[in-house]
Amino acid sequence: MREIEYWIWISSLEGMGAVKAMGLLKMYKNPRIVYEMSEHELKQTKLLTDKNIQEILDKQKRERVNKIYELMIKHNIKMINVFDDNYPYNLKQIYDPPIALYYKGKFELNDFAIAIVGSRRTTNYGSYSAKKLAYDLSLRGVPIVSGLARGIDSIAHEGCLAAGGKTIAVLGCGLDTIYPPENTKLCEDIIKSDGLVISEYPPGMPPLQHNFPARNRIISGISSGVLVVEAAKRSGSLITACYALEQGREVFAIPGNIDCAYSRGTNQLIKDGAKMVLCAEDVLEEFDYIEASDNSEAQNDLSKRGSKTNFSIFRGLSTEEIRIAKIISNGIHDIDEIIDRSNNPTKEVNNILFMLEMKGVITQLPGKIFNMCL
Amino acid sequence: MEFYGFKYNSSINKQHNKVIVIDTLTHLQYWSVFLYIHPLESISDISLVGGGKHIKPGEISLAHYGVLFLDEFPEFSKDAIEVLRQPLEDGEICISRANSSITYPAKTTLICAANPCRCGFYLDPSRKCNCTPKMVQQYFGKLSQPLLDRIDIHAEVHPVKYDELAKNGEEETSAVIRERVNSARNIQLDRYKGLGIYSNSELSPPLIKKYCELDRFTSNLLKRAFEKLGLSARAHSRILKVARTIADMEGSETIKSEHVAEAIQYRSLDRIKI
Repeated sequence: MREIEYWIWISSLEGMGAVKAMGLLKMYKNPRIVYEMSEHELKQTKLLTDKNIQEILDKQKRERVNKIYELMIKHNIKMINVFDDNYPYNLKQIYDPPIALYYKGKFELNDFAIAIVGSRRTTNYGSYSAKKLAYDLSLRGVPIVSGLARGIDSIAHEGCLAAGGKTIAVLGCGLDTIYPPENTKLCEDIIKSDGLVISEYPPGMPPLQHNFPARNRIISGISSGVLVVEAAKRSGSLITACYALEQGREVFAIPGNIDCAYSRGTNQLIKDGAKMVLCAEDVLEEFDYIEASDNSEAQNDLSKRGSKTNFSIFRGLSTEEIRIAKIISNGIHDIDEIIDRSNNPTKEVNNILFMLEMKGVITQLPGKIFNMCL
Repeated sequence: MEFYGFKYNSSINKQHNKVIVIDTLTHLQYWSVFLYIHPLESISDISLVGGGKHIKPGEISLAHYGVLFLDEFPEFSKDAIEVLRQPLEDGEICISRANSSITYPAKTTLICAANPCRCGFYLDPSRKCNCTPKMVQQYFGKLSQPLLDRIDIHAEVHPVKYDELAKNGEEETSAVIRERVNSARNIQLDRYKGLGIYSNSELSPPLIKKYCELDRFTSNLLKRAFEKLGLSARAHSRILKVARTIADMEGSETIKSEHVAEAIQYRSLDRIKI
């Protein structure tokens, strides 16, 4: 057996948690030694229960290593173990670091990264702010970490890719399957753009329910701060925020309407002391982050956009169109409210909104919600 | 106004606000209220479009030149929904069985109502929707794109707040609106005299070219909207017909850009990608 196969074997033992596995490895340094130990020797370590020992000696689990290895080669999945020099320093510091990380793409984790997480069910406001912050942060060269789930997670990845940034997806299943399946294309895009897809689970592991909370500890573990965009009262994103606090990471949250069910979790976080985030700078000022010097082009783009919101975006529009566009840019998105605010007949407002959409100033979202184009 | 469906095997006469369908083959008679039919969600595809061992016209034929209202549209069976495609496109339904083949008229104004998801709170900011994204997608996915293409006007309706219910505003009354609709109907009756059709919805492609002419600016606008919103070819003639109707409602002879803009705004379901 090759060295890597011993690592696959020890990381594929479901019954043994990361803490126990780490304890064994700290003692013996090499999974091969654990592999060759007898039942008596394993008992003497005093770390393991009878069940753990049985699992370690289980023949079936030893035989399937070869299959997992074949899957890794087939899907071009690589592995990095906890003693490797490239293993992310931040992640190693947490209470229960994964003993091995399976990954696809280029393994190049900076010390600094921001995680953007949120609920799977989102409102238009949530998806807009997730996209905006992911875009703005990655323009400044910050890698974005998220979980490739539906909703905010996918939007954060997309926003980062749109800005040409690096993004890291942490999955809760083996990398041979992508869950949820509709994100397969997004996953490919992430790898293509020098991003990274990682998981602590060996290929062949299905997306089990309890994998996801465990996955969340890696999301917060490899990042320096966690930004919660939208979360209901009981939400997986709040688990990530809890892990972040345990691991000593900064927790950020985006405020929402006080009566919006989707923002209850984030508003509660802010009440409990998380930092309220209104723009990308709010996140970065907490760190001694020096912007990457080679992104001057991105910087130019950013300052251009800043001025664009002030006047050039309104160039070539009629006065009525500018009036409506200003109402929307001031934060009124609902069609009824826009009509109320504009004092124009419904029909006229509808036409102006349509013309603005055709001119690429605003976009229309389901539910007749209008947003300024990013 | 009087409408006739005499060119069909079965005929429909208007008598005392009831319609009598006399099937010339089987000599059976059916009665129905002429103006408005409202079947339940549990209706089968056969009883909706017609058929059976002794072929009978379905609800859609009984609502010929009337209104067929399908409330909670995605709750109807998949078969019943999809079987509507042909009558909506052709204005008639051809039923073929081993013992006979009959074409029934089916020019109906179809009105459907639907919730955005099973629990009804999707996209409602104040109440939390209990549906998973998959459930939302399944619920609305039941309505296929070809079927949605054949529906002229999609309108999103927001929940009404109490203040608006209690408000005694200057809303238009239905009587005023009816007058406007009637005058638009009369314009159309005059325009299509001798053509054998009565309204804009019955326009055939050559007639659309004749009566729904656009100026250069408006056709450019329509082209841009198609590219930007990714509308289907089927939506094109629908938009023109609806724009024609909006122009008629205003008493405008030509279709202006704002009429087309409004017609495109009525295709909101084409852009919902859940």
